[in-house]
Amino acid sequence: MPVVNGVGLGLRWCFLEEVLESVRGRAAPLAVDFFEVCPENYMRRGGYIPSALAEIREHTPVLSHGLTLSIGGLEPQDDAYLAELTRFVRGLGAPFHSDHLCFSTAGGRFTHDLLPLPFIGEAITHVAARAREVRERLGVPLALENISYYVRPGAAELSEAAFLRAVLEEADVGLLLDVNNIFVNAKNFGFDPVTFLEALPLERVVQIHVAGHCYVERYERIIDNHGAETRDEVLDLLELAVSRVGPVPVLLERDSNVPPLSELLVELSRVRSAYQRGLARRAA
Amino acid sequence: MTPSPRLRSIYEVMAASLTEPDAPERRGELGRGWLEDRGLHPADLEALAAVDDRSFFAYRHLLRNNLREAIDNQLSRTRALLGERLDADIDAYFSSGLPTSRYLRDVAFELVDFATPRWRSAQDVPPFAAELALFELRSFESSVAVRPAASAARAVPKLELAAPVVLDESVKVTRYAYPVHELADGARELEARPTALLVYRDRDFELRFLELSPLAASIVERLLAGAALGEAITASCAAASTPISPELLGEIAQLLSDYAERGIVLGSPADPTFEPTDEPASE
Repeated sequence: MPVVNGVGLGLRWCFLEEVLESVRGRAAPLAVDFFEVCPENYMRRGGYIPSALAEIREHTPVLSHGLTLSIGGLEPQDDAYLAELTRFVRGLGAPFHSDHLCFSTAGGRFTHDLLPLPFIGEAITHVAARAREVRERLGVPLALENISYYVRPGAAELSEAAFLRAVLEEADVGLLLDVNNIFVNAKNFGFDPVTFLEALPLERVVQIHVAGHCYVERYERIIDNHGAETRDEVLDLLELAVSRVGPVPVLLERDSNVPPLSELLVELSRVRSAYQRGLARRAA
Repeated sequence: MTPSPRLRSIYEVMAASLTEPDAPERRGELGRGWLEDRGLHPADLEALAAVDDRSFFAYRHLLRNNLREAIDNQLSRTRALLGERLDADIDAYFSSGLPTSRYLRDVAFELVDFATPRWRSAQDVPPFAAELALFELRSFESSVAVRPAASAARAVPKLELAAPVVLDESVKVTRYAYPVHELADGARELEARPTALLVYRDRDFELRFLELSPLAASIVERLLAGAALGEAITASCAAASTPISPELLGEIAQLLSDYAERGIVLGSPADPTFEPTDEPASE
């Protein structure tokens, strides 16, 4: 499996043509070390989009980040989905697959949003068992992402950081560290993001996500919409995280209000600077 | 593994909150009263009752925006036709339950299934709205059909009357009461005209549309169902009370040749040299 480091972009279809022009040598090379895709957008699908992905992955590493594993869900694993996901991840040549530490199914339906798990012992046992099963069936390492949330569902028996550590260790899976999610949760729930970050099992980090967010007055909450430029405070958290974990792939996520690729690349250069500052702090 | 009742009750509450209508006047409704009798552990009930219900509504906001964006992407012309009316249909669809598919692109199909009876009985919805939505969905299905088009066209595919004909995976034939593919941007009126439309994806991944005669539509529909070529022609002509003549067979041969050039007709499984695709399907 290839070792992927540096800074990358979520591959969005609105700039697919520009990426293709670059990998075909008809436009300047992009300062993007890797791309990341959501498998569910490519599975069970033919035509232009998967064809373009196949061409891009010949030139640039592509990571796999799923949305619908529902690792905390109560329904049995979907065998057909896992089989197809396995084919997709292996075909992509991705060194690992990631999804979110959440549930996104209930009563056999799909919530299409990432809902938080209660920080209780029963959830640790349940999720860890499912994560071990998925990891074994995928045949590549699995990483789970700390999510943003707006409700703490139920009475917690332990802290979020302790919950994360327990799940990851019991399942023996990696951590996809989303520093924007930490920032959003810290603002909405009033805790210190640095203290939280320091309490995480950073030795398990295999990738980092950064993104932008917005404040929605109606809900009086910061909403993790991946629809704005990454704030400096989030990049500061990135720098700190990189100084602790060392070189890993760092992804800039942008899923709404996606600007032109040229603007995204400028933002990515800010991410790269924070990443390099983190590596320099680590080396110092 | 037996699912934990405690986890189940929490999940059900969270999922139920997603489909609750959001409105400023509903502030406070997702409090203790809403949470009681949902089987929550007493400690979880207390914790969730203390949550500002705007947090629950924030989830609903995110979900609704997410799904609406996916629906608008696939039903852009239906959105243009129905405008804000479509939002009311989306709200009603959400209130009926969460999607049954993990794939966002399936949500538009579920919405159209749900909304079609509403549209057909609504006075403020043009009578062709459901067909326009169906047309958009069929087009989408064709654009994402899994099997890629053959890499090279055969000038003269070797077809046999006794064998089926392999058509490209993207080929769909749909019959409409209105020529919805001709609806101009911004138009709200369309004259009814029975229309059989073939949609396919060409070798450059562009969608193409062909309006078919009733006889051609019948033949292609039968071929899509797996009938042998001769059987498809004979049955279609019989159904249309059209006598089979040398001239008609010549026209059909010409039509199939045109379809082969377009990449619609790929060949025949009876042809030992025939290889239907240049890539395996992904499923």
